[in-house]
Amino acid sequence: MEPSEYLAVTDVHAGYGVKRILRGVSLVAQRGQIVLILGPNGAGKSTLLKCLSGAHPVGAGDIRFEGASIRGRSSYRRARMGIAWAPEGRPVIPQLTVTENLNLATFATKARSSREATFRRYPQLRALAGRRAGTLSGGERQMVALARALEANAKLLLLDEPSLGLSPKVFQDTVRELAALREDGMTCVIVEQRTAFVVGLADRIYLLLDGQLHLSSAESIDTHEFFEGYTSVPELQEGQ
Amino acid sequence: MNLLLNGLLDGLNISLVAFAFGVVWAAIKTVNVVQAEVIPACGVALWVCRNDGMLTQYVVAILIAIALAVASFVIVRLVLRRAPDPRLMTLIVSIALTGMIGAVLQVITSSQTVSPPKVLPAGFINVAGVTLTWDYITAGLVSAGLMAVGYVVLRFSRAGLALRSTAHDSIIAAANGVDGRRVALFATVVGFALAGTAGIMQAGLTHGVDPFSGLDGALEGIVAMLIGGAGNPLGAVAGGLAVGFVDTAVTIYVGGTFASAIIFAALVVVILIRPAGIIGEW
Repeated sequence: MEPSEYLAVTDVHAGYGVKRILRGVSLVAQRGQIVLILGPNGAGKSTLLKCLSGAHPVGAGDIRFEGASIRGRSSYRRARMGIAWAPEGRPVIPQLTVTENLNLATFATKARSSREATFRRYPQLRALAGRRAGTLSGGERQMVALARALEANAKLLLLDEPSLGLSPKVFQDTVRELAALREDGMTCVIVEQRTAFVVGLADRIYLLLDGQLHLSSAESIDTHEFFEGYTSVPELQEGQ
Repeated sequence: MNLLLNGLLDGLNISLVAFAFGVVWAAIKTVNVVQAEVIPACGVALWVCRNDGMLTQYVVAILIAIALAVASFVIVRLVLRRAPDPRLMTLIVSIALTGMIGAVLQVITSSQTVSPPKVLPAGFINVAGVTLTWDYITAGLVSAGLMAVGYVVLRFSRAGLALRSTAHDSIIAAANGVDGRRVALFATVVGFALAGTAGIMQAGLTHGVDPFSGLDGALEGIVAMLIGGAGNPLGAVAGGLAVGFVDTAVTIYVGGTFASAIIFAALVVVILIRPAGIIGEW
């Protein structure tokens, strides 16, 4: 592994019972990169993020983060290493208040950044602090998840369908925020269907087809027609 | 007024048992039945230490509750390493442990109901024409106080946040760094200690400890937890008070024989109408 490979997934296999979902998945991400994973429904994109977060066991292969193997480490230990995961449709715990959701950052790190810094970055959250997260809009929930990851000083952010339930305008704000996070050195792995917004942002793009990842490029992806019967890998561009 | 005050005091004691079971339920989403055996075990501990002074009796009883919590937690964890269904296996293993603890209690007491020394104050007081005994008043106040402290801890402490986040979504909680095993151990120790305290007070109120009571003695509390809303401390209070009032009312107007049947019928009705309980989730 090259020193610059901040996250390295090598030949990972995973599934549910006898059903094999991931069959030899490999990917790399360097520090401060945004990696986008595309693929049709049911391809295993969410399963891959679960494997990275520790929420789903890896059957074979290895996952290395900052040079160390994290395969077999539990989800909470990975969170304490700086891996933050926002699953599809439930980035926050709806029964807790916004403040309580943000306070969960204390479990991931002892040296979290200040709440005031969070409110400076996301001023809207100050007024929402006492509200239950379940009453927030999709965009506000996503904002809480990002703010929590920042408070926890997360180094690797795993986002599963961050556009889910968001208006195009709100999602564009999220994309801008992701770009800002990259400037701050945050590494992101994003699973996303609405490619039109995020393809331009990504440093690496992978297609997940038939349980395997294929490196691709922004130019090779028709962002408007991407999910219209996609079955083969377009114009692989190795070494991007 | 008689119904109101006696139902309130009776209900507060049931609420404490419901609260104790609810704390463990929140963390592991099932009933660790060993917790039921803690109630007579602490009563028996009072009886065993009857010559050692009141403080020693309390301390020994609570230490036994905590020891049972840790032991049952460790044994269940060991079994769960190879178990496909954590909830079912927790239930099965804890039932097996309950049988073993019950057998130990029967050996200690020679299978007889034993009478520990009085741990609650004697005497009575008239309130609005109703005679109340100090032992029930004290037990009610202790239960209310412990539940108030428990609520504050769950609502405002870091440990409480870990427990509530795990109760609501254990996967998201873990993904944020919450160690689910430590949360389960914390909840089990706190829940068992509260159940042990309820056991001490039950021994004081009934003036006798039946080594065979086990799950029977805790059943009203478990029903109250389910009626109010499993894992919700406010639900435990509401469920306990509801069961207390029904229990008192049926005993006064119909006869004590029917009390349990009517309480179980109420549980079925509540679950049919509101599966998450009267108060629902927290």
